[in-house]
Amino acid sequence: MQFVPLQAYVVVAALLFVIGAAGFCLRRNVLVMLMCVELMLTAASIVFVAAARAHADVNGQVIALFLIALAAVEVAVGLALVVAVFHNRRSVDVDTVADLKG
Amino acid sequence: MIGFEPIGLSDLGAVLLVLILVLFGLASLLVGSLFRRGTGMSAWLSAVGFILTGAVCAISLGRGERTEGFAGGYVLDDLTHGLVLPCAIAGLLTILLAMRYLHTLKHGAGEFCGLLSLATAGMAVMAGAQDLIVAFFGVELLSVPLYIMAAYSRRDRLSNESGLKYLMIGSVSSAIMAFGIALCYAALGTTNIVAMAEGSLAAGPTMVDNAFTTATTGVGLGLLVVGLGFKAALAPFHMWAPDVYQGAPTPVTTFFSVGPKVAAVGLMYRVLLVGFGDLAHFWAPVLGVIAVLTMTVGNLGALYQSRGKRMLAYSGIAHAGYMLLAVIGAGALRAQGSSEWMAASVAIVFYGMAYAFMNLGAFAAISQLGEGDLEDFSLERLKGLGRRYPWSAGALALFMVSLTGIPITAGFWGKLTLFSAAISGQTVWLSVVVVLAAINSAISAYYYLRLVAYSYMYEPEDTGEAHGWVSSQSGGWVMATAGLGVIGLALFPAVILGAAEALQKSIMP
Repeated sequence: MQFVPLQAYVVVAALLFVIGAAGFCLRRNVLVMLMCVELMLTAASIVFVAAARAHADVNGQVIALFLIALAAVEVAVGLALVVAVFHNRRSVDVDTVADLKG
Repeated sequence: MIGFEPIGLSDLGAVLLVLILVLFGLASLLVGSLFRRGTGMSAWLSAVGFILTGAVCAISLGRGERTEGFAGGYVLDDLTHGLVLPCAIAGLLTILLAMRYLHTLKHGAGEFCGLLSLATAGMAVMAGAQDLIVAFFGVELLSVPLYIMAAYSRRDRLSNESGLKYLMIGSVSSAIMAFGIALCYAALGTTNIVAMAEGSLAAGPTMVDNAFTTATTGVGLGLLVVGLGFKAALAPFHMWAPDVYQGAPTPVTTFFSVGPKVAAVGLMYRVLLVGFGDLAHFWAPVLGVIAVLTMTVGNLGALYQSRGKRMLAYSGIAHAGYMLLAVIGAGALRAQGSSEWMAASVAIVFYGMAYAFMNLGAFAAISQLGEGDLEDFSLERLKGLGRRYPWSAGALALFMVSLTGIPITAGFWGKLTLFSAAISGQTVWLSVVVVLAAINSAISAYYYLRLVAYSYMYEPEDTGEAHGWVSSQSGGWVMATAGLGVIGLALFPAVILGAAEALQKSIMP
């Protein structure tokens, strides 16, 4: 039986992470940006599960479940905030949400 | 690490601080949301939780005890106590400061204090985390309530925007941190920092035989530091801080500026020194550059601010840079193979305490510049304060002098311990870093003392009371308490510094 080495998983996950990060930087819609964050978290989960298999250590799989729950928490709060912002401004584009100048 | 024992009493004893904060926080959340007039009740519940936590920390600090729990994932040692103490004080004083704000809210005033307790519980988790995943969990427990609190005034555009910005930056930095931890786990096979240090990392610089492991560990560690850097608002990851601080309600900003920074720097210290100490010769110089950048950006940014919250936001960035000095000094010592690095922990604890008192006091003073807690206030309003409110002006001057670090104040002792912790590394680049830090302190004197000058050297403008100082009783209490804390630490620095030995002893297993 042929095994896919851990390195391959890490490379795939790194690609996913970079795609997510690039999307976060380039897209202006808050919802899409939140989705990109999800991609980045998923990349972390992939590495955890693959490494758990490679090291024969259960912890990594548990951590992946943790990450899924945490991602849900963040999105729950995030969507509530997006709704509040939309009520106030009728837009969820980050360029229009810029009254505070840094 | 792979223990499957059931949770025992010793585990619960190790997470005592977290338990207190979470239990009182949940009770306060329930009371606040179930009863229509539960705001006062929930504030009391949270306050009792903070007082209990603070009391446990204050009693235990200096005993040098060390209790591990959850298979080494969490540790209750003196560093944990010392880091949670300023956070609990910040939480308590924030509740006091928030009373005026909570009375103006129509909805959701009851949940505010509960969220504050839960965020502090997150800091307590971070302070004692000995496992990267526990640390990550603590960061999340800290961040999620703070996203909500930043946007607490739902109808206010700026508060909304502040919450949304904090959420976007916070969630992306969490993702970066998670990926960094995942890479470390892939390379080293464990997330426990003690096991990491004893395992593959013990090979240290000679670990290069396996290119994959080396690269993955390096990138993972880098991403971890970047993620924590976002949370502590270190340059160049600080750009969100002024906007978020300005838009959030003033009591929330007060809490932002103290708790998360102390907890994040403390967590960095523990993770980098205990876990990645063998790689110190890589990360210590990088952190040195980050610290200098952070101080410079914070101080130069603060020079040009005419508004209170933004100015204190930039000043907070600078102070995170100062705190980082202790981590760097310890890292340099560790890179030389010396075991003296643990001495730097007392600097972080002392500065955390001093910074908590002086910054809370400064925010309490700034928040008296207007009737509401949402808008940012022009510092011009301070003109003539000394004549009208001598006590408030005196307190403000005390906080500003202490933030500058002029002898003999709490801030001075704090900076002295930090600088000497950095100098003890005994390398040329560290001396350069410390000199730059001293120059930065001198720059900061300009914008801190400007406020003192405003309040004493200008005549009150005849625009009526409405445009000047609006003193609130709770703000006065916060200023009084913080003032006592600053003076107490200035006169008796040994209260904390005396715990140095116990702190050193209990860090390592």
